[in-house]
Amino acid sequence: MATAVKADEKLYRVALREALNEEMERDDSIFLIGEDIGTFGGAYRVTEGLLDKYGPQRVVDAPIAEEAIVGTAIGAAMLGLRPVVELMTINFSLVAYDQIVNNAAKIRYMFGGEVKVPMVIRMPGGAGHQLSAQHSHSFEVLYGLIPGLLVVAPTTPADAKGMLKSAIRSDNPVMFLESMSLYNVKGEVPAGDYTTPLGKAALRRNGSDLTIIGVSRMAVLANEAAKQLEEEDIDAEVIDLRSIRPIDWEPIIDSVRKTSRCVVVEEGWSTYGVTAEIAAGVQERCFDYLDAPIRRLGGAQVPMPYNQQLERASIPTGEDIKRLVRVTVGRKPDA
Amino acid sequence: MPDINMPKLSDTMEEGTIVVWKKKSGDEVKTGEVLAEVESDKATFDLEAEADGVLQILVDQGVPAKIGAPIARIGEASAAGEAAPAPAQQPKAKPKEPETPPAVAEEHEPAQKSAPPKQERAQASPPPSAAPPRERGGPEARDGQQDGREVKASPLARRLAEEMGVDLTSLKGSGPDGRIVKEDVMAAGGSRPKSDRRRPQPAAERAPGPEVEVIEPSRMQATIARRMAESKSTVPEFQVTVEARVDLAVSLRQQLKDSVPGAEKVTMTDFLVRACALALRKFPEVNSSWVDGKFQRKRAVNIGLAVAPGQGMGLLVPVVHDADIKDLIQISIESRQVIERARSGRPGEGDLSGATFSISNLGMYGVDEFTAIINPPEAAILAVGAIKDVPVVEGGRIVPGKVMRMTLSVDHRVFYGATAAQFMAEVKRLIENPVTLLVTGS
Repeated sequence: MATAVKADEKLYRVALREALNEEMERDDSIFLIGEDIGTFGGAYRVTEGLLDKYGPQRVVDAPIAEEAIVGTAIGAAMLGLRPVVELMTINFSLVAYDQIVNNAAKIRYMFGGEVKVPMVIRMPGGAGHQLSAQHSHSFEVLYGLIPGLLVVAPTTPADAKGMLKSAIRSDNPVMFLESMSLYNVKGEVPAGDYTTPLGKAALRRNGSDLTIIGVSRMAVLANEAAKQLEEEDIDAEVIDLRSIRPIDWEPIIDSVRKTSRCVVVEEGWSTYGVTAEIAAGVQERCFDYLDAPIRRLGGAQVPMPYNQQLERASIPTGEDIKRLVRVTVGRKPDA
Repeated sequence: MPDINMPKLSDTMEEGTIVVWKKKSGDEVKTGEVLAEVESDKATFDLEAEADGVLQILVDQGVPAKIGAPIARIGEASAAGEAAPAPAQQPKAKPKEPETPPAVAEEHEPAQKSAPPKQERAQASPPPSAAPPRERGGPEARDGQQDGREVKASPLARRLAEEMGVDLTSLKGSGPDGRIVKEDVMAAGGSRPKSDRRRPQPAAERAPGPEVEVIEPSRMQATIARRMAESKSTVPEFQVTVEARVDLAVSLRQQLKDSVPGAEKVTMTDFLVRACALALRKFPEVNSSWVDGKFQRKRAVNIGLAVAPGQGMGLLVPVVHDADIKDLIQISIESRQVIERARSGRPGEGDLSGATFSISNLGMYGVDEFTAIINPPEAAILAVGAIKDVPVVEGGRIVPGKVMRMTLSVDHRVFYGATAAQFMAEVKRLIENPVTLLVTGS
């Protein structure tokens, strides 16, 4: 874990590839399966070069059949392999939802712990690419509500690598939620082997006026918004949730008790959303510390429009976050 | 002219009594003001006005009234003096209703049969709502004047106001929609620093008298003062503390109390007396004194028990003589008798003298651990703390366990660290294996 020596700037998707490559070198029970991940190198080029290095036995180009891909992986995991599934996007995971919910999440329980399902399902989500209503989902909550799953959403290249390694080494099924919009984001990635724990939130920014909790890409936007709010003399603390299941309450509670105010942001629909869960939990744990209502921000309550302007209007932006923050600290919404 | 009816304050309540009216007939009252204290079968609640107006009391304090019966009325100022209207005009005074309408129960019956998940079933039968009085507000609801519940304030502001003794009703909120927020309370409270949030205590009336009162000590107190000062100034002492698992001792004590005649009142102190007596026989240097530059090793093992006197201040140390040759039941009976005689002020001969070692147990007061002062010429005293439930590691697992901490104060002239440690290890071993305390001649 501590062998990482120096940090280089790398793309999020390159960091993921490094994790896959290093883990496959380390443990030959690991194999990859997904659509177009071999010859084509992956729809987002995450698995590029791995087929050449590890061969078709360990980098399996699967037919377009998500239910079969996930089912195959579950079976392989039960028999001792460590599959890493790539679903081209989270939107297609709905086809495999039964396998994930009824088998991956439950088998270890239903077999009395005698069978494990050590597998990872990697899948990017999010909108912003004019992929319209069916291909723009943020489904954190669909997996976050299932006991038996670990659900993480890394937002930095360093976390992408470290958390993917932890996910691969976990003996339980991990839903590894990547973000299409973050694949080409650069960031420092320590070289060599290191892991980042699953199940832990990250404090991205210290502040005293309020706490912004961001889910997936929204944590990145929240951080940027917080920087800009400095000019308005608003000192925001930012927490990157990172783990959707389980929720890491401790840093959240510590932060809200310190700042007394809380805004929660996700890209998906906030009704019944991750933000709803966080807001409810914060209220239960921090009621007597709250100086303002907990505010939530999520995507517009519509199927995602194709039209670019409408799509932009349907996803939370940095400006939206700033407006909500201003209201929460008792200012006018527009600076 | 709204009636105020006797509220139903608990599921089992059938009637209530006004303990005290806080307002008189003819008083102007405001919504939310506390009118009276009402006592149910379970507790006492504040009764609040639900409208503004002039109060007219219908039921005197101390007189019970059925649930739903009118007990007061709030009316227009001019109507206050009018005679009470006939009871026929009080549609609100209903007898109590069945708590769950039968129709609802039936409706859920089939759903329960077909729906397997337990959660649904739990949700399907809502708890009966018996129209309780409106929920209590924050703690400020108790100030008797204005309860502040109608004031719009954040939870944090409410808490701070309570802690700082700030009246929320006197503040103007600067938050959205006039909400009182933290800053408003801090400003009103003199913006005391966070660390200094204390509710200002109302200055209690101090009885008149001299600044310092001089009290004559009793003879016992004077003796204690002299001997303790002598001990602390002449005895070079050190302490050794051990923690013992006492799960077995606790359960053995219960078994003895339940099933052995004569052991009904056996205490943990009795266990300790027996354990110390056995350990003292094994380590005679502990059962010794330093007198005139020589060791005095005692043949008898007599154990003193530090106890509070029956009346007044002070300290008594009744002694269980020859504790090493008595069994646990004998020790139990004898220590109880000797303590009772000492407390009653009629100690028997030798009841308060001849101790070679003492035990002071403050466990019953919840003390974790403490150090006791040696009572010369004894060479040691054992200070015993409370038995506590704690997580303990056992074979790599965390399990609930009971532990007790014991601290031995030692006269370093008489014996030394290694002996003290071995002695405590032996006491610990005996207490942790309490069957050893039952065997005679061990």
